[in-house]
Amino acid sequence: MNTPAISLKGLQKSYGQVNAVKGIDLTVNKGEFIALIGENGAGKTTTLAMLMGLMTPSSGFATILGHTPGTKPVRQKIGAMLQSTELPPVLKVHELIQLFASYYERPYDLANLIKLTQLDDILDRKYQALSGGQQRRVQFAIALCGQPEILFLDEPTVGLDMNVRREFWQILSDLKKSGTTIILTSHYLDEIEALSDRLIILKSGEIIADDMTSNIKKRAQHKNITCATNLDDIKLKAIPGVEAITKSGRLTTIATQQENQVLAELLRADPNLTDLSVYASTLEDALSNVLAPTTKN
Amino acid sequence: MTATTDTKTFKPANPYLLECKMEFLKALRTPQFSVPTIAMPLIFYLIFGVMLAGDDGQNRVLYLLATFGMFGAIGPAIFGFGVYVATERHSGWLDLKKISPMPLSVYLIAKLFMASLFGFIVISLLTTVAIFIGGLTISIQAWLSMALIELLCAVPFGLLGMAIGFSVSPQAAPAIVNIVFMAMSVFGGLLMPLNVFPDSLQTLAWGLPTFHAAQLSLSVFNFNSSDNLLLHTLFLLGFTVIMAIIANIAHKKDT
Repeated sequence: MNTPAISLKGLQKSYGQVNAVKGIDLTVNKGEFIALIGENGAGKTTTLAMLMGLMTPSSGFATILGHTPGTKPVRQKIGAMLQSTELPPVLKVHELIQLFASYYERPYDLANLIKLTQLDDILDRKYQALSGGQQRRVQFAIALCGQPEILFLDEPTVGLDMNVRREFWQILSDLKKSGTTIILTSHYLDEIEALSDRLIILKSGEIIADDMTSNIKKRAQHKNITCATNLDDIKLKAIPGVEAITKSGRLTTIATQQENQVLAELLRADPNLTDLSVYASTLEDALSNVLAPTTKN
Repeated sequence: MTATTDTKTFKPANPYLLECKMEFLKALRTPQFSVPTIAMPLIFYLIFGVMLAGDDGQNRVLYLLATFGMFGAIGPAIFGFGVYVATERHSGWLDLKKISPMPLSVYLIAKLFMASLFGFIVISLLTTVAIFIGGLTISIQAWLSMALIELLCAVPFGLLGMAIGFSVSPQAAPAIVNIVFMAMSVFGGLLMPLNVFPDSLQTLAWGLPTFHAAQLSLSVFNFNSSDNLLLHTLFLLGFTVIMAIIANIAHKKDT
């Protein structure tokens, strides 16, 4: 039972001169919910493709549940939802699901799967006649067909409205409770904040941060004070408790952990300041801190 | 996750059978595929083989049944593999299958089944036209030999389609497959007897697999222009091996 769900050692992938993934070491334990984030081109999709057995690494090792990715025992135990997939448009929902379930030794009970993914009403519809949200649900059902131990979700909720996304989150957290290991990539930070245990940030093919999502969020355990003020940076920095100052347009944002003191001092120094607001930092702020030093290149 | 016993609506199915069924339904429900695949050989045959049969009527009806049957069998093979492979590898459907435990043979056998079934339908319809409009009489045995030869000869063209499908975009695939298919059919003597062409083109035909396939099909009725049936067979076997290798390379390159 100690076999990790995923183990990567020095995983590398290059296309000609380009190093898409530059040596990733990573261990994911069974039952973990991992969020993988990074800008476009950071190597997320390439890393996932190697894990799912669609690409062979240029060097390094990857094992899934103790086996090489792409081998039969692994393929029985994983499921995936890929970015921008188009299923055969003229097949009906029940045909697609039945077909995919036939590939697995131990398929999900289809009546239950249909209930879970709310496909009851559209079983006889052709895939091309479905709305975007319904198509994503069919793709999700296909990912779950084999009762996967590891589920890969690459941008699963792009383009879905908030209600549908929340329903989807509910199913995912139920799956997590039942022990499924989940690897999620997403551009929606609220989704990552709501679901993931652990956050891995990729940049230019390398892991630049790997920590519990809550810890990464804590890194930005400060408040933001935004206002329009005439005070220059030197005077602002002189206020005790000010940690960082950023300017955008005529607004200045001050990051601090002692918002009361800073506010009092700020108002004393510039009684004429306007547009004042104070808000707690989000995962997004934390991530911009993590990514900040090397973002502008 | 729970596994209940409620399986009355969905029974576990054999992936080979189910994939074959879905592949056929997919092709049947796609008019862009099914209509030209069936209608093109039928209309051409009706015009060139039956309506313009002329003096040597019966021979012409039979001769062109053998070559149009070949044309009708190759069509679904080369398009079925070419266009569907290009589409499915681009849409992510093939990736999802590769992630799943589906053996690649399921994918290939289903496409071959679909192409053969479509080919069989086309050959049957052509024969119906030949009998009822062209007044042809043909023995069941000869007809079955012809159909079998034609369906077997279509296999390497499926591999050719697969090589194209793994190499080009889904937008380009139909046009490229069409050009290759039509050129090979015309110059291999599938749409009109080769003796209407100048000598140089008749010599060129020896380099085309369609020519050798047509010779085998024609040999059922002793219409073959060369007696070297072994050579035709070996040429097609060689073509099959080369296409299988190229298709495999194209597939590897794509991943």
